Amino acid sequence: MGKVDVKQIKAVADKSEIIGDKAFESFKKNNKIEAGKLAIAAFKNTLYANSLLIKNEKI
Amino acid sequence: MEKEKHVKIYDLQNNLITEFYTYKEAAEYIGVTPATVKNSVYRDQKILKKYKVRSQGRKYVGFKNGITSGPEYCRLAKRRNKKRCQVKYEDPMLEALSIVRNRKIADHIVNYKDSVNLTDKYIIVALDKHLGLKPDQVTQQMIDVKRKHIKIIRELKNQGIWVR
Repeated sequence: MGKVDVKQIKAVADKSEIIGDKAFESFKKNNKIEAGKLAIAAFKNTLYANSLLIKNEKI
Repeated sequence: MEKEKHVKIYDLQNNLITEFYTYKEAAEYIGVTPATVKNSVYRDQKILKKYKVRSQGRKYVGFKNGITSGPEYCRLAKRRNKKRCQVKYEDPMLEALSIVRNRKIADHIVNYKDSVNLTDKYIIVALDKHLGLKPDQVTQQMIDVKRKHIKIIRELKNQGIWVR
């Protein structure tokens, strides 16, 4: 965990959160399944990236 | 030691008609199932609009304001949104079992409500399960993201699409 590229992971977390939010809103409006799937994947990436950052800070 | 006839049948004017050892005997006398008799005892109900059945086997713990009867306690408990009515059994083993069961049921109800409302507590537990994050490590932003995540998964699940 010591060699984690923090900048890159932060960028991934931020981007995927923005994408997830957009997809979530479009899923709410149009009820498109593909948007929902995209939002799920994006949120999953966000959570995983954030958890990596938090664990890295602790170590 | 002789057993007492603890199941007593009264008419609607509270006159004692007969006594029995078991609910089964009382049920045969009235002509209903034993479950009906037992429920009528616990819930203070009338049977066939003719009889009242009372039993000494089940005693209710007194409430703070000096209330000793079960039905009265139940009514108060409902008014105060309590989940269970505290009951005291004569057998210590039965009492211990009833306490464990009541706690399990109460925990189950709380957990179900949390999962429906997606409370912070529920989401923190979910994050701990999936990502191994302890409660003090979880931020509010992550909770919001996870809440949206679970919402979409559930909506798709309702449409018959399973996504993980």
